[in-house]
Amino acid sequence: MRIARIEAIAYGAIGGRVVEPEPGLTVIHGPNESGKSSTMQLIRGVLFGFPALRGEGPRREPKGGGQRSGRVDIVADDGRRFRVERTHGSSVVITDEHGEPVGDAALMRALGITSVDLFDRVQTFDSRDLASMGLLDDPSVRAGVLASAVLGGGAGAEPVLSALQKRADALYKKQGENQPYAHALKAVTAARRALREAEKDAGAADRSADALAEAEARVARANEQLVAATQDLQRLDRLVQLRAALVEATAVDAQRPEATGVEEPSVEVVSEYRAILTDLPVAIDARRRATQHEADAAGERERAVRARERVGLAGTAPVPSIADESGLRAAAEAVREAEREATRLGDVARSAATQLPAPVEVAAPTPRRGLGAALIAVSLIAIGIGWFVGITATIIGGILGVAVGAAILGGLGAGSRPAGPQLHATAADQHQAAAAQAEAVAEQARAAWRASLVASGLAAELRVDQLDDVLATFGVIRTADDAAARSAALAQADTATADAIVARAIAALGEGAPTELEQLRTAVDRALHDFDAQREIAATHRTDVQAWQHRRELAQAHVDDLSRGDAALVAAAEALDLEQAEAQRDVLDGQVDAARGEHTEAIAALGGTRALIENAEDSTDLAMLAQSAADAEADLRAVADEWLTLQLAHTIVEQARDRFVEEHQPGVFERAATQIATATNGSWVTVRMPDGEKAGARSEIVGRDGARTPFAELSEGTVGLVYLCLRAGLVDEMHDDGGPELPVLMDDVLTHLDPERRAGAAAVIADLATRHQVLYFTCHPEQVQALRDANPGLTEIELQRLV
Amino acid sequence: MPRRFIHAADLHLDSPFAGVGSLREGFADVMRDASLDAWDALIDCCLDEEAEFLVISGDLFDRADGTPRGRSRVRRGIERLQERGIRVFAVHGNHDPLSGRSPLAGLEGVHVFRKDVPTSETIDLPAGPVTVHGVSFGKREVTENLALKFERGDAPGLHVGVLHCSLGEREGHGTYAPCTVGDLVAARMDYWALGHIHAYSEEHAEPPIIYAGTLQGRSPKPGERGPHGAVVVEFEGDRVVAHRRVELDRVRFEAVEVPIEGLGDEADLERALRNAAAAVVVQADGRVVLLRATLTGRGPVHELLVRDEYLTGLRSALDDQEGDDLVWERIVSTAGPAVDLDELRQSNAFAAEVLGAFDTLAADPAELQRQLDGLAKSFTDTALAGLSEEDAAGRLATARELALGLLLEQDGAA
Repeated sequence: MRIARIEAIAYGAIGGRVVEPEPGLTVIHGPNESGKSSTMQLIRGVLFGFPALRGEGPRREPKGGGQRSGRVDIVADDGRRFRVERTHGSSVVITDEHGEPVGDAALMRALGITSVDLFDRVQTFDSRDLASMGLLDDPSVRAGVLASAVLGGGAGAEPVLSALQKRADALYKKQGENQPYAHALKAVTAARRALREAEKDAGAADRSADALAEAEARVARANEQLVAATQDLQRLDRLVQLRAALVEATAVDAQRPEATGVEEPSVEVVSEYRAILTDLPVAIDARRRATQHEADAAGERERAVRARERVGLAGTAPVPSIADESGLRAAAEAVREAEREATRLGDVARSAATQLPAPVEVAAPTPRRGLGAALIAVSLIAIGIGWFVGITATIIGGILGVAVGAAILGGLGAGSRPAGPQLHATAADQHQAAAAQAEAVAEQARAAWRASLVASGLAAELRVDQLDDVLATFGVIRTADDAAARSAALAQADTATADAIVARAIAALGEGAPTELEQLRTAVDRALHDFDAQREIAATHRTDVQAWQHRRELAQAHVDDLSRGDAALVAAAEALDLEQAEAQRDVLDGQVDAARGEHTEAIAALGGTRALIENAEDSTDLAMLAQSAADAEADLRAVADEWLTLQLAHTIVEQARDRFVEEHQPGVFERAATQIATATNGSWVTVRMPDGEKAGARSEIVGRDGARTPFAELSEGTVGLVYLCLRAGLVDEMHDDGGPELPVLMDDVLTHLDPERRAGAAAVIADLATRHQVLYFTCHPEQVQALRDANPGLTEIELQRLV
Repeated sequence: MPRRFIHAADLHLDSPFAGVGSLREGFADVMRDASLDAWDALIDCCLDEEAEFLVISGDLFDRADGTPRGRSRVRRGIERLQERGIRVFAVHGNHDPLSGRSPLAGLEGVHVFRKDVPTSETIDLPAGPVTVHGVSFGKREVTENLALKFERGDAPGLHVGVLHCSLGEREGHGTYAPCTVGDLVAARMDYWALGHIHAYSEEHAEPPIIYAGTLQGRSPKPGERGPHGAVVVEFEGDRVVAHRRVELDRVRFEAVEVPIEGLGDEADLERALRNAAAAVVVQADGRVVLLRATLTGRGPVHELLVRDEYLTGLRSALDDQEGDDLVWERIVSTAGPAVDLDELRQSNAFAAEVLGAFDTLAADPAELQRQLDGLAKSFTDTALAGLSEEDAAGRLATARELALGLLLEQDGAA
């Protein structure tokens, strides 16, 4: 498209102005303040919209008031003409050459682009742009310069990049303080600090085992110190006490009771005396009894003597034994039997003698076989007993008895033979004979009786009829002998008892002791009284000694209790200086107090630690702060995450753009090279720009000889010229790559060029104008002339000063 | 009758949730206590299942000494187990290496395996002897293959291996104590209780080699999403007869993808998001769901999505209307404008050049990473470590759709 007419309805100071450019090169010139720049801005404002804000470009409010408005007539590539009329604050109105509205699409198609930024970058440029050519090494500037290259696709990278960057910058910018990232980072820092502080506060609890162990160790140490100080104090106290105890023990030791000089009878002696004193009445009584017993014995002996005398028994002869008595009885019985027989037979004989007896059969005397046999038997027994007992008299008596018995049996046998008829004849004789024989037997029996008496030591005169008296006398003798013997024995025993006691008393009393019992008793009794006095004295002394010993033992026990057998301690106590000890005690008291204080504090600290642990275990603060820190980090990460995504998108779009640009650079440079060669008369043949956005890469211009010169080393004029050529190439490239045909607006771009370069540049502009409409605004006549020289057929529109 | 033991791992008790960011008011307490409440649920599970013992395969805490609150809660829980005679066997992992005194040391009924060299502990149960083998990390970065050091031995009964390790490389997890399934099988254990990988994973069937996963999901990352809990293992004699997961988490991270095809306007978009959220909330069975929604596909509402702060505002708008069981954690978009990319690639437009640039980078992950790393150099804060490596492909897709949207917006305006 091209611009056919420009009308300022209300715009700055140029309200009402109409400018009608022609195809090709139109130079719009006039003095300063003639409204050239306003006219350029009007075109931009009508086509793309007036800047709303100061930063978006000159506002150029109408001097007469009202909204900025203007009209631009454009001729599309197809030759159709449209009028674009725009009033700031209202929608744009597009009408055709008949004044009929045709809609925005026509304008859009005509412009082919939507970005005023791109229009500014490619189609509009002034001398300041040329001056900035040296910045081509700045990637962003270069990208901007070459932005047209990406317009071939019909879309612009810059708005996308700008939007992405804007959103990314809204999240995070280096050194930025107001972005969410900065806020989140501050929140993270604050949360971490709070967490660290809490952890520090809870540090003791967090290291509970160590903390507890440390607190317990402190208590233990404090306890040890307290114990040590207390022990020192106790040791000192013990030393002082020991010292006092030693003094006391020494004092007690010196208080031992003196000896009494009294010899205390031994318990055995006293006991002996007391026993003697007790026994002496026994002795007296025994002696008295002995005397009585002796008298009794004498009486009994006298009675025995008299009894002996009665039976003729010698004084020393033994009393016949029972066996003897049996023999005597048997002999007596034999006598009596024989005498009775003799008597009977004598009576018979006498009777027979006095009476004529009829022949009668006289019964012969009956032998006394039973008597003889009995006598023999008794005698044998007597012999046996006598033999057994050893009593000769009994044995003899026995023998006699046997003899008598045998005689009886013999005699009786003869007399008992049956009387025959002769006897009858001599019955009286026979009776006489029998009586005589009986008398002989009786005599023999009496002889035996006497023999028995003699054998028994008795008087032979004794008669048979005295036997019972004799035997009774035997009992008396025996009784008297026994009684005498008993009494004598008792007397002897009592005498021995008394003698023994007396002997003990005399032995106890010693030499000079009386022998008389009563005197002895008196002496012993007196001795015992003496003993009691001695013992009392001894007991008193002993009690005193015991009391002293007890005190001494107590004192020593106290010493031992305090010293516990520690000789060194005793020595130390003995050497103790009490004044120094008192001073030391004050020091130790202080140490104990200090240790006790530390102990109390340590226990309190331990309790505190335990409470700290318990509080920490129950507290949710740490967890909440940890979660807060984690949340803050998550928030920070979310911001960074979004930023990273935006930046990735930005980077990739940028890379795509650069690649797109790179791909289109050759065309731009080829066109630019042609222009440069033309403008410099072949001194420079082409330009080369670095690939992509490599850091440090420099744009270069290549001379005819192939030498490369960095842009930065070129003169300002040459840089401007090269820039103009590049821009011309960009315009061509944009159009040839499918972009719309757009007018090129130039504002004093030849200002800083020397005449030679100005001419070259004018040639470039003139050449460009052969393909595109070029509206060149200037207030410099030399520039107008240069353009006239380059393109004599150009259109000139002269503006008048507005003021 | 089978007896049971419980396998848990990666509890990270009383540690903050990462990557969540500020949530709407009222959820701070729930989030703060979630890991500890999950621990209590684990103890309840041990008691309810009448477990013989509990194995913890590392990372009980997020740091070596845990936290006072965490240690206290653990102590109380173990006391409850001790009252029922339930023993605990634990190893330390890379987050809580056994560099000093174990926080579990001295607790009655707890056996902490020593570091560096596997040891074993045998317990005589009424059902027969059980030998538990384990080894703790002595430092955070253990690079040797600890699995090779395990030996079953001749003891009768069940043998359980407890190990914190990396079975192959896993995204989002450091490679520590690396080993292979073959290494573990060769040790002839009857069950391998593994830790370190936060997502539940059955690595081998016979013997079972299982990552219990973390007890409570810890962030919106993929491995932390969905149900989390422990494993109930049933055994008879020297044989594992069954195992099953139990969900013990208290807060659940979930993610939904919502395609924007067919969505005509903002109301359609909000409706689609709510419908997607409703399905997830039902599955969470009353737990609080922290939901991340990703908008995918192409459609006209993409024009809304590329607007500044739009997604943040949308999330707030949705969140303000939700109840106690759902929190919209974040809404992200990989959706694009309603264009045919193939057709666009064939065009002569600058957008084709841009699309080509994205395609080129997508085909060259190393170059993409290099560029992301270059951009992320600006970030020095530790909270942003690894950001450039996080889902590079997804980020590229998002960036592409963003750029295309803006470019086409320009086109549309033209």
